[in-house]
Amino acid sequence: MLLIECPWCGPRDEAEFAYGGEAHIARPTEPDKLSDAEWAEYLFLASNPRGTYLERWRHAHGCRRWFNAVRDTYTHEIIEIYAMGSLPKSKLGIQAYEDSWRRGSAAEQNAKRGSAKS
Amino acid sequence: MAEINQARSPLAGVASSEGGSSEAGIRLTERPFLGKLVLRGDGGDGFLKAADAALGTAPPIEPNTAATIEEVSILWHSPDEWLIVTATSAETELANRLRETLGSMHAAVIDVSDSLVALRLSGSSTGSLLAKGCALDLHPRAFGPGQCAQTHLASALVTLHQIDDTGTWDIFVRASFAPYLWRWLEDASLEYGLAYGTG
Ligand SMILES: [Zn+2]
Repeated sequence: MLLIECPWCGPRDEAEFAYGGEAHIARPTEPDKLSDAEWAEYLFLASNPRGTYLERWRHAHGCRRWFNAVRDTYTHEIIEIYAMGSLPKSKLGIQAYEDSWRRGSAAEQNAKRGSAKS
Repeated sequence: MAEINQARSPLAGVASSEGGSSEAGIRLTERPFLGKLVLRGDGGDGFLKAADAALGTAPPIEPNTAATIEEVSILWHSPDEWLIVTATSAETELANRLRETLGSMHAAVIDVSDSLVALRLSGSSTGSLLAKGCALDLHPRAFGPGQCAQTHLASALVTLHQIDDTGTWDIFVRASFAPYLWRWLEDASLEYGLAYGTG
């Protein structure tokens, strides 16, 4: 059982949390400009690393707030907790973010173009 | 004419209000029919001021803390949510007052009096009792009077509120979980000696 530090409520038992899957999956803003393969990459492909993973959690049985975490999927060590809408600041977190195949994906480029325009 | 009182606690037929062990380390009682409100709002200065005007004190913004003024307690649930506990039948007037002072603000006041059951635990062994079903660190060095927490007790979602430093706690639990939690508390209290009522 993990002891997870809710940014608001403090350290709590894992049972109080809901898992929200991989973090930093940007939704394409112009999906019509993506090929089926590129769209499928966004929709269906999930990272499954042995090691540092950027993921989302929700304190479902507490304050009900979302937050991000950098967790090692092998040791279960939680390296960093950081706010939704922000990027990791720890060395391992930054590395995992930058090394992710998503950064170069057509879906993420598409999402970035859309947000730059708006 | 006979007085008609149709209020019926979810613990009717389950909870005792008197009797039990004469050397009790735990006292357990229901605090039936208290008023309860959920207050939502952005937690900003304007919201806190407006809520203060109705409540007589601002909702606490420090996580896991409660404010008590006379018969009203305001328990922090989240940066934008509080549980307000009032005396029996005082909730409607307080809700109206809150809605008035909050005006057109992006806020909500919801009457949840009947959806939550309030229990009162007291006695010298309540710390050990709670530790059996709650993973939260409730040791005096980590938790004290005036603090509250939404957490799990025997797998039930509850709000714990520590009332004083002699082992008095209020527990708020969903009505449908109340009979289960009452029985769990009874069973878990056996080794300390259990008595019902406030004594
Ligand atoms: Zn929380």
